[in-house]
Amino acid sequence: MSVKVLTANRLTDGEVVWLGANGEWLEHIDGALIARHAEAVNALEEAGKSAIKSNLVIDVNVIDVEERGTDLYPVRLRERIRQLGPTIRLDLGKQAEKPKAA
Amino acid sequence: MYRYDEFDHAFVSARVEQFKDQVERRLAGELTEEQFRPLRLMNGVYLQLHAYMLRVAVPYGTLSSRQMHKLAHIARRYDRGYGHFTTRQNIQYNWPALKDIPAVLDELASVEMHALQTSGNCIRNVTADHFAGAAADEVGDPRPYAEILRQWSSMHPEFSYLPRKFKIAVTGADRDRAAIQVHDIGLHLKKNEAGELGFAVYVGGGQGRTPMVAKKIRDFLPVEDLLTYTTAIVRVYNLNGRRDNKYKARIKILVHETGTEEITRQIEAEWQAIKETDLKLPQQDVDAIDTYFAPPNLVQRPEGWSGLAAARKADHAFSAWVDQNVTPHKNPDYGVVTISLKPIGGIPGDATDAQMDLVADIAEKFSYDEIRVSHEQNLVLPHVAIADLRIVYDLLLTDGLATANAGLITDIISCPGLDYCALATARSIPVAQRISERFGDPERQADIGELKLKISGCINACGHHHVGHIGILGVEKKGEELYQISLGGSGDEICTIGDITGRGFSSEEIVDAIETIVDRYLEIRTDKEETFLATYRRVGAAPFKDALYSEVANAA
Amino acid sequence: MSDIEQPAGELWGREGFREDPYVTAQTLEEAGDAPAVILPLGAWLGLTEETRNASNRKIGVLVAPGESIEPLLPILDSIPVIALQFPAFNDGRSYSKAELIKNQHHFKGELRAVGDVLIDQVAYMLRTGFDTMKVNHAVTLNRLAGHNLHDVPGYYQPGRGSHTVSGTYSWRRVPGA
Repeated sequence: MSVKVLTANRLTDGEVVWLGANGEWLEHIDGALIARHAEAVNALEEAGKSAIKSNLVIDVNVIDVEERGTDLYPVRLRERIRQLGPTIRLDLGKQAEKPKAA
Repeated sequence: MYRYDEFDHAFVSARVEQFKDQVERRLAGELTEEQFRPLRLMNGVYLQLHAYMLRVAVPYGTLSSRQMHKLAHIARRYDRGYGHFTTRQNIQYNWPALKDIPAVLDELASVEMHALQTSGNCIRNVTADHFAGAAADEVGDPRPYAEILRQWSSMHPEFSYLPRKFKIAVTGADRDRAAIQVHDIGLHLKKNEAGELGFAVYVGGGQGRTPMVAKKIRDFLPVEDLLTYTTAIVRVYNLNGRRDNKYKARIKILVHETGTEEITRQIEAEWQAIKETDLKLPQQDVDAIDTYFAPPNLVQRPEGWSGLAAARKADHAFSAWVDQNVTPHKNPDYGVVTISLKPIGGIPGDATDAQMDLVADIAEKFSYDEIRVSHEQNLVLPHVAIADLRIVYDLLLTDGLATANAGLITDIISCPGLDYCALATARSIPVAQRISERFGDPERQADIGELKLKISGCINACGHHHVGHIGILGVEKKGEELYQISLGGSGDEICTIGDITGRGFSSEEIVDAIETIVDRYLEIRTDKEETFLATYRRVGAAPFKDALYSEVANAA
Repeated sequence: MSDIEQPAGELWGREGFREDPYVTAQTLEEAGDAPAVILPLGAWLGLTEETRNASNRKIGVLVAPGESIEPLLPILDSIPVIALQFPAFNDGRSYSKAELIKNQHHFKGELRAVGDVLIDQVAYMLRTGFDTMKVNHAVTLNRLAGHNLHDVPGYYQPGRGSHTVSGTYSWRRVPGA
């Protein structure tokens, strides 16, 4: 079943970000605030509007994601590419970052 | 090439200062995104999927070594070590931070470059034949006129808020390498019976959602009337072009809906009213701009030909490269070298900072300091002595720039597609890479011969798929990428829009489908001299559709 | 950024802000006995020649981007003010109309831009022939009050409020009368 999260690009450098459950804009989708019902989606949309006003992010969108185990998997290819980076340059974008040490 | 004078320097600097101020105000929250967006677009700054994108204008595709070194420096210092050359002879950087862009614009201004009017509903970067000033078949160099148009269209007070973007292309040879008939205005520089220079004027071509071949509205326009006539065209468009629907706002729709005869009447009437105004070009001004584009003083190098024959005999790969990537020059001692940015399996149009530096160095030593960017997403060294071809080839070879595929099936035009672009609906680069690998064998592609394959990742057609001999359009259908094929398009002097074959193909199927088409061509061509396009024009779509849909059905 | 607030009702011209003597009305009746009134094109064209030329009041005309100025061209001498509308900043039709009215048909009266005008557009408007602006955009009003027109030191096209310079190309101009 798909749920929704809020994504945007950061104003200063265009970096792809997601609104976290902690209220911060996160550089990775893990920890994104998940909306599971209509009211929560409205809240995401409101959070998006106020984020635009506060000039932190641009191009704010609510997107569909699937919960796959503990991972969030965006439904649209476009969003999966935003999440990882260009599929033809695995050395670029978020996919190129070294995994955090456990 | 053109050099800025004080006037140009002051103008560009003022624009950079304005943008610096706008960026600061945006970062400080004094401008909202809604207010800032049109301002950043006027400076070539887009937001793409992963980051901002900066599109830098390369006017009519001409660069000096110093400028190319600067483009390499920007890629290294402010981006991720590469740039993407586009079908509009521009270069795009995919990862700049907004806060760095004013500094990038400063760097560009220091080598007489800018990003102005690379976006927005204004007159965009004027493009021209990438072999201008060098090709053996040229009647006149189109670049002086492109430069006059560039100046005249810069921050034009009347034409900065047109219904939609507006693209002008100029060619100076009968062989159209600038695809002028798919531009809003296409200008074909030619001579009349008296030997005077002028233009055949085409209006209303374009690709996108509704592809149209331009209509010729004037067979010969004297050079002195270039700006008055262009003003008349753009004014008629600005007043009457549709503004109710973004997809019907280009001049091609106005020409189509108004009718060629009536729109010509309106343009001619407006022109009569302004023909004798301040915009009529004095010959001395045309001459002065012309001087900047005077051909370099080419040293006589007749010794090249004998050495060339021997070198070709000794190295088959070099010989294939000469055949494919070297075009006749006006001066028989010289050739025009196409540097393919389409390595087999590579990303069409991408060049690393090191490659840009290498090309700049080679151009400085062996091409009279001149480089061109082609709308086919390649680079060109316009003046290379035949005697220097071998050393230039060897240098290009050191960094993967000597692929011998200009004009062949692996010389694919591809837009960035869904890997980068916020408008895209499907990926195009990976499809280009897989096709390139499938046909990468040099013998095989040479046997197939001239075949222009072009891929767009959405209906906007930045990958020019409508005028590909084989065109591929990627769309999104039920969450999956789906690729439509069109055949028989051509962007040259006999301009045609390709015909869609039928239902689309999945990402898995598309490369096989292309191979099916190519195999069918090889079966039915009269001989090796009959190109894919000529065969298609002779037999039509039926044999290809047959092969495509019956075979795929059989295989399923 | 300046915080000076300018009342949206005022008119701006090269000399700065001043009070607008005109009232805008849908019909002459609605305008009451105002001495200067601007009517929409349809209403204006419906007036008799006698009414238009009456000496006791000035009657200007407001033209929307989609409306043709053709009917006005033969009678420009009888119009005190033509106001061209900019309902949205990105609708540029009125720039071409300004060129036609002022430069091709030599209108001597006041040409006015009305509506959604961005500060970056003001210099363009002056160059295509507008004399005055009635702006509803707050940022623009603030910037106008600060006399910052976002202009450039040279132009690549002929236009009003600029002059030729010797020693350069015929199409170039620099600001100034």
